[in-house]
Amino acid sequence: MTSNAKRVIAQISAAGFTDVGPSRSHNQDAIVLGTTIGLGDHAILQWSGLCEESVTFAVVDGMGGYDGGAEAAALVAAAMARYKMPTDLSATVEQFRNISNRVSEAGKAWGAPKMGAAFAALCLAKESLLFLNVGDCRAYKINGNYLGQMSVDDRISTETSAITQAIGGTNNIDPHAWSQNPGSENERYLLCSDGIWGTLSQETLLRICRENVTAIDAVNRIWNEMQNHEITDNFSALIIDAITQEEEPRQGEGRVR
Amino acid sequence: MSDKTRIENATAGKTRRETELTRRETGKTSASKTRRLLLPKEVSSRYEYLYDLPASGGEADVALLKDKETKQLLFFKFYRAGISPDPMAMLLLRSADPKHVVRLIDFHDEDDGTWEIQEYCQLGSIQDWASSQEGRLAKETLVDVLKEMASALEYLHGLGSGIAHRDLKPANVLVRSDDPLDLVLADFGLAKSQQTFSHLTTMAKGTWHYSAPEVHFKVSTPKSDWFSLGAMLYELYTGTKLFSMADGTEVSEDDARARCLAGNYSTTSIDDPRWKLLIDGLLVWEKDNRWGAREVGEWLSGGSPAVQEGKRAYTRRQTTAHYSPIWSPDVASSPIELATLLRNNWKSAANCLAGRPDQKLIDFLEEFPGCQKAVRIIEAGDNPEVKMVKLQAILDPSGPILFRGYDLNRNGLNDIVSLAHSGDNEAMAHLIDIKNHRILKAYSEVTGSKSAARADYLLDEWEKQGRALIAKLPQRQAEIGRVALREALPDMFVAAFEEE
Repeated sequence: MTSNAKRVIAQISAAGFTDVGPSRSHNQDAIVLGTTIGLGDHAILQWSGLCEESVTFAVVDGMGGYDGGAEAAALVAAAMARYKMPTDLSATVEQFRNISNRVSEAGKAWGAPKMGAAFAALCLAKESLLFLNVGDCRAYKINGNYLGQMSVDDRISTETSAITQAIGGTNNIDPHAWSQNPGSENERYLLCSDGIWGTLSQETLLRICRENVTAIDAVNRIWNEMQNHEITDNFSALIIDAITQEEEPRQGEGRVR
Repeated sequence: MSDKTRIENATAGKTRRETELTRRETGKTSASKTRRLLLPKEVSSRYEYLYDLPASGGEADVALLKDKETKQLLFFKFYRAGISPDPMAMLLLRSADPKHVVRLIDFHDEDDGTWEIQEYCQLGSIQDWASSQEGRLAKETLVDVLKEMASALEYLHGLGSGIAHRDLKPANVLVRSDDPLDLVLADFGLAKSQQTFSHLTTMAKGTWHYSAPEVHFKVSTPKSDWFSLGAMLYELYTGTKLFSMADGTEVSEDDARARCLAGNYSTTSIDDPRWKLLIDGLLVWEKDNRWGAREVGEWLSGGSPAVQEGKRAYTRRQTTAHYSPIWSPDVASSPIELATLLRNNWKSAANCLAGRPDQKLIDFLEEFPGCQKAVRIIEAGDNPEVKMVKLQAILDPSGPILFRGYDLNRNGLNDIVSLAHSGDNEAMAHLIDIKNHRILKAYSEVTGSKSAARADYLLDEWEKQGRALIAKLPQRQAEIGRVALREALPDMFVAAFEEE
């Protein structure tokens, strides 16, 4: 590699599922892979393609304590399916406040003024990744032998599942956004709702995610592992594999910082 | 404490010291219960092993011997693998004036090991001697100590093109006799001739309490010895170490290093203005302004040379920044302390660095000039253990660079390889991760180690070649090939570091 070469995301392979679980009557979770949304009691999706423009993956969890949780999740999922990597990170605050306002207005119209949803998303472009979240859905990066949490839990405390903000349910939300360049190795990411991370230990999630299997096999293994536990909520997980490569700058481009 | 009290203490201490010597002579110390050393044949043919002695540093094992012919007691030192004194320095010391330097009877530096045989000073070190007097010496005695030490340093620095001791501390100054006082310098394991200076081994114990600031920037010269002398005199005068807390509480080695670098030490405890002047002059932070032989001679003659403090090269803003990580119960108040916490809490720190950067950590580092690079490393998407290797070099430039508790220098890697060879699965896992995550590449980037860069490159190439061959095999044989490639890893490490 010359000193001007940079690491870029060349190809993405992703898979995810959402499941109502044995204890709930409705699934208020949703998953987003690119422009495709997975909803309903059981949905499993795959996505693969070259990374030439921005693509977004997300897990959404409707607030169960209020009416309209599933509807809020669907609206947020639809917004994430259209979401593109911003050129300016500071724009994310306004972007998500707009989304939140639309969900809130819809909720008022539907008689569910407090409806809202948490989400965690990963937006990938060729040269950067953007982690986004509001609420308590999580985004992880499988980093070497470690499971690195890239999202910030909007929870009152570790003792309770009550969240401090949600899309639609909160005024003036403060979305968490973190941007990184692609690392030096092929990378795997995990997005999941609290139904997953609240049930499976970090060690278990890391073990499954580190296994040398495809994204679809990995999410199936997460689903299978969940069956060995008491499931009290909807649960959704999404794995994204980013294959990176080195790229020389095109003629005329300067040295990449 | 008045001088009268000091002298009374010194007299009382003599009886205690004699008791200590008797115990030592008869070998009834805890050190004698376990034998660590097996003498080389060349040594055992001429000398009788008596017992192991407690090692003062981490670089060698030591024992007491008796010459079979002359019955003379001698001090034997066997250097640990990978450590040997500078041959040039040892050559000069063999012919050095025994007035100032412990007599070197024999020295051996071959492939089968490195060892020395020296005269044995029955009174022990000045540390032993002072500790029998509650750690403080009378001023009259201190003058004698100063004269002996200054004379010894002046001689040493004038040997050949100049030798710096580089590890001067009370334990390395031996008392050949106490009446009249005869002190000699010992333990030249870290001594270097003027031609080449390299960093102190990280295995030396009790070193940072006496090391000059420039040593931490990998620059140690004869001037560093004068600082060490100042630190010793301070301790022998006050009874407390130079880098202690205000109430005299001793601090850790790492804290001592941090205080030294920050210039966080003072001589206000020295109540005598003449002695304060002397010690201030020796402890000048800027080595070029520090007192040396000339100024000390002037002081001994009654003069009062000026003390020029000068500008400190290492500056930090006055800050009370602290960082309390969620992955450690301890608090860091400096980059060096943070580096120590990273080393001591490897797994939990790596877990945290694998994820979203901790804003509190970034805010803490931004308080310190020169830590911007550390912030960029933390914010990057690299493997967390790669980050930790790089961070140690930036936060603590003079400290060791560890990976899961092992030094990434040749000795540390040899230790891991040896363990892996012996079937230690954990060691094998370390090697696998060092290779897979290009830890040696990260190490070479921050240290400039060409051998590490080359080894990383070779390991990566051999891995690719191995996998390419395995890919052509049928499944069953391919699995055998993968196992073989894994098992060969320790040998691959050895081969990757072999000289071209």
